[in-house]
Amino acid sequence: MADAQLYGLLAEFRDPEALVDGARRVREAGYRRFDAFSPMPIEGLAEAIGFTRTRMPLVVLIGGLIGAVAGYLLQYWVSVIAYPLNVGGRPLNSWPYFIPVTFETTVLVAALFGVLGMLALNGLPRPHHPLFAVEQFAHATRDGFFLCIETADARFAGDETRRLLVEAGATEVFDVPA
Amino acid sequence: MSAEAVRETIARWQRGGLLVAAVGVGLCALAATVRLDTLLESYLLGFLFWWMVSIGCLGVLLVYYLSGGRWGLAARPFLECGAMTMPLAALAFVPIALQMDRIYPWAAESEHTVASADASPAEMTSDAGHHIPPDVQRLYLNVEFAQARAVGYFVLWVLLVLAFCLRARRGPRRPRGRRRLAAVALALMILTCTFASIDWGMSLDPGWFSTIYGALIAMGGALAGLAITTAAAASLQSRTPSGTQLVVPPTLADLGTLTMAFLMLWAYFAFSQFLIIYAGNLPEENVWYITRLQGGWQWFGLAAIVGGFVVPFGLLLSRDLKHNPRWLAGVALLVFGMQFVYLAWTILPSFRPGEILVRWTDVVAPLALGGLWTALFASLLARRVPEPQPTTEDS
Repeated sequence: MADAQLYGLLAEFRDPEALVDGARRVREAGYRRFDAFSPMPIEGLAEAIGFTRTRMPLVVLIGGLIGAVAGYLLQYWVSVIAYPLNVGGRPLNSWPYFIPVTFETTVLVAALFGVLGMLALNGLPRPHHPLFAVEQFAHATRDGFFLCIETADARFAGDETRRLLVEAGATEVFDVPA
Repeated sequence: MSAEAVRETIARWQRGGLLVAAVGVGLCALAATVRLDTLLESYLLGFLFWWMVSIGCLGVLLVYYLSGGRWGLAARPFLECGAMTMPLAALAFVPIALQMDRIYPWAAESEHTVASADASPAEMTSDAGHHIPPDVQRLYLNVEFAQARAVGYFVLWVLLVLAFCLRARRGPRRPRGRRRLAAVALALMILTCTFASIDWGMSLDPGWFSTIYGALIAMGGALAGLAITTAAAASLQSRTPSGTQLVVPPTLADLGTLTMAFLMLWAYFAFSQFLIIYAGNLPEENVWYITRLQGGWQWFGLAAIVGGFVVPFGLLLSRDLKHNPRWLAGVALLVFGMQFVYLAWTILPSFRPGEILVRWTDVVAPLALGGLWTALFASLLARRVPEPQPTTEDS
């Protein structure tokens, strides 16, 4: 089997602790393009993979700022330009009134950016993934703990990678066809 | 050795607090001989702030007992020590209780108008359009009743402190019973806190009322209490290099997040009071804000909003900052300090409407009380903090 036809190697681990330990060893061995799969969140796994931060906070912040400015401008436009009304002699741009709605639109757009940004950064929606070709992988949603090293990793080297996975505690290693 | 550094830091807080208190009390004694009335204004401000901090610590502690959560494990000893300063607040109230007629207009009024039994109609209209006749108001706002209420509040709060800071710690672990008790205690506390805020703060303008005033004071206290807790925990954590079990690092960031949530809730309360009065624009309500938005007081208020909400809110958005104990302690101290500035903005213009006027005692008297508070807090903390915190307890 030539590496070119592989997406990567998928290793199964016995339990969450073994998976975290395995992920740590794989990372220490210098691999970067690998990911872990488990049915539930596992404490310490993200750190073990080397997953430290995302661009999500920035995406949400930008969404929030857009929401704040747009929300305020909408009210300004309505109350000052499009339909000016004298309410109890108050200035047309009575900003205290605009704060609650501005807050709401800030939260709304930030939340929308949060959801859509999360999907975009995760490359979703994605109907198919090479990992689905491995029958055993269906267990990742029930009782399976997996780690996949992609061939795209600079260090990926067929049997040597396979050996590393076994040494790292994998119970079984599957080929993932591209 | 890191435990030594922590103990040394706490001892330094204690010494510093005592020093500030000694100098402050001396200066206040001097001021008392010159202008007692002015000193009492400043002293009331100081009392209100440090009482808010104490009651706020108690409130947050009760919330923790009610809700549970990992954040509370690290915060608990600090909150307990903060709440256990309640007897100091009770003691600090004594001068106010004895000098009410010099501080509160309603107390001063009752002094001379009680003698001339029936209040003149002129007096009723003079009081900026409020609809409660002074003689009816006096049924609640009179010196004897106010003193009796204060005794009642403090007895209740001290009992709560005894129950939740001393007994709950030692007692048998019955988390469900304690949780139920905490729910009752929290309800009682918020109720008495509302009445106390009306008695001690809102009644400075007897004609003015705001239904959210008590909640705003309680919230400000909870925010200040949580902020000083976070600041103390973070600065002690920053002095333990090896990351010992004083504060589990993720919990410290949680305290930062919680401080931010409290900050937002407080800002929401403060803003809704303003918005409702602004929208209603009724003369008996808006006069309070008009006093505070002219003659230079508006800059004071603006500083309180920018420094007390905008800046710390922006900083607390950062995840990196919350994971850095030094920075977190700094921001928490900013929140704490600005809460005092906001309180000063709500209290002082009642005494000095018109042109802005801040006297040196406005800083010194609260600092003197703060020194005492800090010294007591540190001496309590010295006995509680070194206990290693188990990371897996709780519900």
